[in-house]
Amino acid sequence: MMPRYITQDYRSRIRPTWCKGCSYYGVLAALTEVFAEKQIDPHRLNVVSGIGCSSRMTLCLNTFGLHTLHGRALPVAIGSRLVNPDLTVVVAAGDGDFFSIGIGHFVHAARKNFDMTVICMDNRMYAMTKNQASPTSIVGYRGSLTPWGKMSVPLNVLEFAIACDATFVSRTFAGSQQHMQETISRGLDHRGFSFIEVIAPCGTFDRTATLASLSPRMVDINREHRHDPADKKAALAAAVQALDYDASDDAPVPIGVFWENSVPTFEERIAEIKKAHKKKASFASLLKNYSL
Amino acid sequence: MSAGDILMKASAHEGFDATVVKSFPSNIRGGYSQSLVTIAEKPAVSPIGDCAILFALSSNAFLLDTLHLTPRTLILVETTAHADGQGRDRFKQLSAAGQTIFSVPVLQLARETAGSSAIRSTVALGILGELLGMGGDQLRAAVAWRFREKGTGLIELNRIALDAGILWARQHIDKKYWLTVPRRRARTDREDRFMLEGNQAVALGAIAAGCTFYTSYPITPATGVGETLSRLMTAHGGVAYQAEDEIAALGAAIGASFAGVKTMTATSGPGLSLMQEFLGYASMVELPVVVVDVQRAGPSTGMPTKHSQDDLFAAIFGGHGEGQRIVIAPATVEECFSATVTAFNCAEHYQCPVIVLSDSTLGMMKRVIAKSALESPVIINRDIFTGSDDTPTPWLRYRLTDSGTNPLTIPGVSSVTYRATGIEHNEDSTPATTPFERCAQMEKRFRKLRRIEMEMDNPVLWDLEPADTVPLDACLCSWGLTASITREAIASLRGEGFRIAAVYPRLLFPVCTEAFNRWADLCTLQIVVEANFTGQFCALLRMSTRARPHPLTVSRGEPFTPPEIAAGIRSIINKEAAA
Repeated sequence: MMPRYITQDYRSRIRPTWCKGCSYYGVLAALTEVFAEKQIDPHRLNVVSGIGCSSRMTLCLNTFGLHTLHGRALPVAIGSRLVNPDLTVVVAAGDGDFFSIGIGHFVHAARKNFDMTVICMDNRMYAMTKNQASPTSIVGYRGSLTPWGKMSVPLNVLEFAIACDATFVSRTFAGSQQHMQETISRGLDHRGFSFIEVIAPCGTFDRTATLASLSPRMVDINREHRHDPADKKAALAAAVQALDYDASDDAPVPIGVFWENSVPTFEERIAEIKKAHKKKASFASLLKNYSL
Repeated sequence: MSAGDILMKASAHEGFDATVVKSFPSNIRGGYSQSLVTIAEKPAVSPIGDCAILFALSSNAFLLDTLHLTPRTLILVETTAHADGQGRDRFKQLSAAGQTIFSVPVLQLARETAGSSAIRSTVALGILGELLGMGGDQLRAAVAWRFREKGTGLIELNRIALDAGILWARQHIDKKYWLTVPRRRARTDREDRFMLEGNQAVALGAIAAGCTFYTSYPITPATGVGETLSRLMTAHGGVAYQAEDEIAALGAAIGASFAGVKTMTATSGPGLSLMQEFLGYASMVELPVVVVDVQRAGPSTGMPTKHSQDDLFAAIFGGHGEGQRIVIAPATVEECFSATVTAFNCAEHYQCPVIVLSDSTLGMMKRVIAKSALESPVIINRDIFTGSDDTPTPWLRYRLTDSGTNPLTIPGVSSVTYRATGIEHNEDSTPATTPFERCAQMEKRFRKLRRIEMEMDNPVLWDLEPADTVPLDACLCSWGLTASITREAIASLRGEGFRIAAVYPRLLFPVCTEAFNRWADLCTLQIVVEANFTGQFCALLRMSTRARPHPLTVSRGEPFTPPEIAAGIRSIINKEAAA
């Protein structure tokens, strides 16, 4: 049987604003491939993003979507999930968006375990505003607002996501279409808060890492290290090491699913409460609580 | 605090109109708290007024509570509260001035009869009830109601304390000091009368309007809206969600609105500040959302439990850029219900954020309300497009229509998708920033509200003098709770022979320019009464209408009283006449 939707059905007419050769084109392609593979109705998909180069993703898709405020994609996505649990919700934004201005929302969305797939396109800088240090930039990174070098250590987003009790924590690489598709597909299948860090260097401002230079260094921890994502201790240990790839130019870059477990989602907990109140109370009966 | 509720309930059962206004500090317990109970034969216009009886249970109450005192006020004061120091001096001073004042050993009575000083306010309640000629039965029933969840032991203790108070009043206060309240038959229509706080009326208004998603972050004095909806929403099949902060609360409300349901969040001033960026977003993407601001005295932490109307400018002009918003203000508890319904209707119809400006006093005051005030309001739902075979491609979500609005498509419901973006966009929601496209969309968005004054039911309420042959002394305007207090002040000024016309806007923004230009033409002396320091609505009228009103303002954490407003108006009229 012919599939109902092909990859192209998920693309809007809008051309991305990304620079030529940007690693984000790959993420966009992977997303549409996975949507088509799963044959999700475009009108049952809600792709929510913040502000920044990566957040333009929403506009490039032909699904429903909200291109929101800087750092605020998660609360908006949560609102749509809470009132319509049948929607597939994907949140896409950058490292600055999720982990600088929006980090407060990340903690709570992960902890509450909303069923959504959260994709952080991590280029370790603010690119749209033309090169400033982000929480994931390395120490000493020279951004336009840190001309003498960034003074804080980078945030380990994988370790952080596990600490926030995200129930699916993974990392993939924008240079590997297949790995991205596999990871996004698993993220969408996971029932709960699926966090996916995509290593996606900025071809314009990043003078050290490129897709080509990083590519040979990728090591899938599940395949090559037989990492078991159900083992939390091992997951944390792997996450702690995941930041070390800046140590040298040939240090391995671990990717794969670091941590996955299954606990009820926030939406499921709400459904439980709703089940207990099956009969919808009329307005008149609610009023009785206040009668004289 | 509970004594006020009990007295109100008992009075309401006797068939009176009853209101209780509360004022307390921002502590969990302790500090000086006050309940102002108004009992009236006909529905009272103002919930604030002169005090017939002041019962001071502490020296703080005795020394500080002077706002509502008149030389005719009967003062009852706890014996230990005037035993020494300033209390003793004040007692002497008042007695010497001829004030009727009684020393009452409330604490002692509570300890001797019920064995606990904590129950002193119930003793005071017994005394008050007796002075009002209420009879013990209604009070006993109201006490049992108030402590129904605390067990029979506590109810019995309170009953003993109540009886001790009643007995003391009979033995110690001469009948000539009792208030002659007309006897009434206890009403039997309890099922059709409701005791509601302003915040609860807002919550019920939201449910009546069809709201199924409520989200908020705790903040005084707005939490009552959420406390009510957290329970009612579940019973009603909706969802109430506690967000991690006010930004997330409004964000979630907007996300839920995009997903097709009516949504609301409630907050107070500091929360409104945090919501400003998302308010701009809702204006830009044209999604309906209702934000209730139960105002408190700012700026910063200010006085978190205290009355103020100082968020008007923040509600109208807060945030960056120019986005279309609607601001509505209820003046009574009944209007907290109807204004919330109106807010939802406006949000759905005009597809933009609507802010309801309540305040701490209005939000937390309790009032007896007839069922008719809560029955079958008109409900407007958004125009939803589900898709059809000849759906235009691309879908023009922001088409340049005459009305400025277009149908919405809903995820999971409509086959036609679109992406809402906070970036300036063209008709099909593609980012577009040429001067031509920008102008077209700005004009389209503002076109939506161009005729709101004509389209909305009763955007202002007029109170005109019957005959227009004699020139007016002044024309008045007031909004929110202050409008209710102003109405009573105007009634007394008219009694003195002043000729005054008044207008009370419910729609504060966009400004009802037609109504206020007409208002300005009624009389050259115009006055706006409001509870903020700078006279914000007054300034707004000067900015956008022919009116050149004088401000009459107060910013002290407690509402105006009717005599203060009357005095203020009198003074402005006299000053103008002399000039």
